[in-house]
Amino acid sequence: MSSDKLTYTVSQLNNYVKNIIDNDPYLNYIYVVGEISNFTNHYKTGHFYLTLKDEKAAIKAVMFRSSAARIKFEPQNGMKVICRGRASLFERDGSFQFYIEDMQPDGVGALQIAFEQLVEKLKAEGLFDEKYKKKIPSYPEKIAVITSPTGAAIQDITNVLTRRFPCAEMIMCPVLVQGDGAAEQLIDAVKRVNDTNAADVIIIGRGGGSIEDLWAFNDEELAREIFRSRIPVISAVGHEIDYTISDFVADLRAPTPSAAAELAVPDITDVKYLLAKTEDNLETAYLNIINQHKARLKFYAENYVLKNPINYLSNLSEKLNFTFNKLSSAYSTLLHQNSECFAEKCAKLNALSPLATISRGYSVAYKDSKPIKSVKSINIGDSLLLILADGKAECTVKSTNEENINE
Amino acid sequence: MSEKKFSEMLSRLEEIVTTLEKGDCELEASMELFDEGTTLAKICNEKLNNAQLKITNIVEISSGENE
Repeated sequence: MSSDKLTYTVSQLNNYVKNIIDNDPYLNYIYVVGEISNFTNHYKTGHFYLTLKDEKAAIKAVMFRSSAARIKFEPQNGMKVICRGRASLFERDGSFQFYIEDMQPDGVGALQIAFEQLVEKLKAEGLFDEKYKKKIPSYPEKIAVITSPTGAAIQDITNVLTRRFPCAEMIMCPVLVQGDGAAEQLIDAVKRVNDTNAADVIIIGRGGGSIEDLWAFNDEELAREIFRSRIPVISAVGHEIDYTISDFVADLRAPTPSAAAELAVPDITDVKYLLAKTEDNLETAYLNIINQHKARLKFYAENYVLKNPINYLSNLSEKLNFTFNKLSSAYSTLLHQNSECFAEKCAKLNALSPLATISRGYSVAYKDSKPIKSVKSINIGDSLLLILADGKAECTVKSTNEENINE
Repeated sequence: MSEKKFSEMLSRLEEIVTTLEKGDCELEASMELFDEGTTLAKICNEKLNNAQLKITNIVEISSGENE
């Protein structure tokens, strides 16, 4: 731009200024602290448009999609942020703006914001719902412990398990618990314990540390893996005051690794006591049944039939005699009644007998061995047989004469 | 896991006790239950008396072994 030319186009001016700014070594890579206002998330393009301001000044800012997609929180109006980027001029509008490449919340800290937002997201998806919480088994025999092999946590857990429930088996899953790759190793371990069905319960955790140290336990994928775990998971990350996403999604949250071990297993003394008591109950119940049966047996054994069979038999024979006597008397009564009846019938029969009639002076005449009932059945000269009370006589018919003797 | 779990054995033992406590089973059946119960109690006791915490590394557990 030479000094003798005093008139320029707008484009020339803006381009000139833009070049000055872009060639400035400081403005190309700077951090700016400010508060967000007029925040717009452009849906179609995915770019963020906003204004950064402080008490005295403001600057328009844009964050292109490629950068915007990378940040782990959602910028909001009023949020104080630290932005890394470059300052430049947007030639078309002549506006001086800040091109943001990375943005971090200032004050509360990026991790805290990201944490809170992930909590909200997973909560909305139901990953923390009570209804999905699995029951920790009462007597786990295998306890998988996913933690650093060198930390204090593994020592604490081993001590508690040894003291409380030494009959169990501890399945060690040594992993990195912080730094690069920690989340992936934690995820793999949860998956592996499930795939191999290696334990009845899983303890996942680590000792205390800064929010950055505990950060792997806020990993979204780890949260989902814990949620998917068939085996109940107890989470114990940091100290009592520390809460991580793993704690929320786990089936049980323990304030410390030691506490996790306490929650995972029963005290062997209690279990031994319970078992001894159950054994006692078993014996008592069995003895009761035996005694019941014995009592029943005794009851029948003492029954007089078995105890004194002769008595029983003599009773029976008495009964038999009695019955026999009854039978014979009934028989003789019946016989007597029948013989009387017979005599009576005989007398009646006798009265009706033709012999009796004959004895009274009547006789019966036979012709050809048949008694004659009518005069019509005989002819003169017939030979008749006459039966009398004391003998027979043969007669010859001399004459017949029909008349009714009854008239 | 081929052998029975402690919790399964303990609940079976408790079930046996409950059945026997009802007292309405046949003598032969109750003898069998009692036998089963004492065996279970014995195995449970053996497990509990194993006083050394066993520590196994997950890498020693292959995927086929426990399924």
